[in-house]
Amino acid sequence: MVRFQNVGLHYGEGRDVLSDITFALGPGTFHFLTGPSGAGKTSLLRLMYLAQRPSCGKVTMFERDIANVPRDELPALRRRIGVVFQDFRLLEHLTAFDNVALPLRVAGVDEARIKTHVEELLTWVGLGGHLEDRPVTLSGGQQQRVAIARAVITRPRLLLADEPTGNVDDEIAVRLLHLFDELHKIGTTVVVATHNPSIVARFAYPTLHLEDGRLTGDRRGAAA
Amino acid sequence: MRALRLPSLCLPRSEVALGRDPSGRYLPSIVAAMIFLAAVALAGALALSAAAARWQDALSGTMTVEIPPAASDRTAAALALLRATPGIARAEAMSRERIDALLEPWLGKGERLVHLPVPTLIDVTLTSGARVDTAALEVRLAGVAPGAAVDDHRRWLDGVIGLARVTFGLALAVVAIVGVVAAGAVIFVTRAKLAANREAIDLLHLMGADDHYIAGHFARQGLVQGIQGGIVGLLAAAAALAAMALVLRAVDPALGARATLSLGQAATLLLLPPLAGLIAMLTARRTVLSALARVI
Repeated sequence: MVRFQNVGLHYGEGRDVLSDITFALGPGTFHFLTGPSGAGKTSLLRLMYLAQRPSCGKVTMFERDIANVPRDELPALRRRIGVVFQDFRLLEHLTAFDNVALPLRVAGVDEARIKTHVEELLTWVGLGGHLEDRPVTLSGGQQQRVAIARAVITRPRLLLADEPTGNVDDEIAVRLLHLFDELHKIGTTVVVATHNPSIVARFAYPTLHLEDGRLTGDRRGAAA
Repeated sequence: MRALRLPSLCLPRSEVALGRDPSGRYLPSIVAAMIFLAAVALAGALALSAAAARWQDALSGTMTVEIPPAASDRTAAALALLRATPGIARAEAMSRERIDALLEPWLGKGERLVHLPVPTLIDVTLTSGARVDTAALEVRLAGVAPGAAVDDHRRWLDGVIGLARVTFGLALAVVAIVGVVAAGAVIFVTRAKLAANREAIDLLHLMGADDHYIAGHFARQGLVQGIQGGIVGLLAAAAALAAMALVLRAVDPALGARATLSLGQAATLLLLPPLAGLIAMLTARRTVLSALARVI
């Protein structure tokens, strides 16, 4: 599913933000990605959601060497990936419904199916009464749930979440992690970057630990 | 310049917040100004071309023979020669009253005209489709009426037709320049929109939207705004042209009546708004595709 071999990343002429990263994630696995602020978690996720090409090393996603994937084939690969961004990145001019519907519209799904699926999922995350609300009128936690619903609406094969529990209380955080867990159980590969040790402790899944751009801990079996 | 606020032409829902940045709102105004200029230039050229064509129709197949006052007693002989010439259907001398009427705008009415030596003019009508060698005819006429001259109006008509062609060419050049300037404005506005919507575009990319999907949003809005601006510009041009026609009619009713456009010519002007929309759509699409090709 995901394989990094001696991957390094630097932006422009800057210092390496990732160095010699090697790991592999099999289909249907669940991993936490931990490390202090500035360790490179977001950069590693950016490589995984194909926002960035590595400066060196080899990234293989869905059995494709990303270096050799033509630019016009990247969108199809990206449609297999759901991303929950740290800052949510909801579009302010769209309603909660339209934000969640966005990946389906990009994929060309018909509006009748979009209506059914989006309403169902927003209700499931507790926002059934906020379909027409714009993000600015929602609380931080509600916005985060919209962002999560948008990431999972297409049933992605790979789900990447960058600090998804940062703005919600522990009860909601656990509930969201259970949602990710359910997706993992039906075959989605899940990577959750988090600072929250209680969440990591509560769900007994392997952890990739980053320190200063290097993978220092590969706990409980995420080895290449 | 104030941005035009026009009713929506059912622009589809856009994930990209196009039109929310000020530069996008000005595009219809810019297009309206461009289409106004193009429509006025084109309408003027079309009206002049139509007038030249009408003059050509009216004057082809006719000639005027001028007998100098000194040879006016040879008018009958000249008429006989003309009527016997193959290709000439009719030859009639103009009455003195008609000649005086023609001179009246320049010389005025009065007794003095009666004593003014004026040439005798003969109206000649050719058989339909016939061609007469005017130079040879003039030589033969000079034999019976010394100093007689033949005017087939060609020199004047050639000048008018030449003027009409040059004017039409200039109008086409104006339309082309307007098209290039409008395309430039669309490129500028599209780049501003791309910058203003960078976050949404990045997000769409990460969700798997391809370049054509994103460019489609810009192209659709370019089409709608181009048509909106084009309609406003054309309506303004129509009002300006109608006002000009009223002024012309007040100055000279005959001239005002001639300065009209046929249905076909009016239909040509109606093509300007969709043309503006098409240019805006294609330019926006190309600009976006070109910009997106530089990102991963």
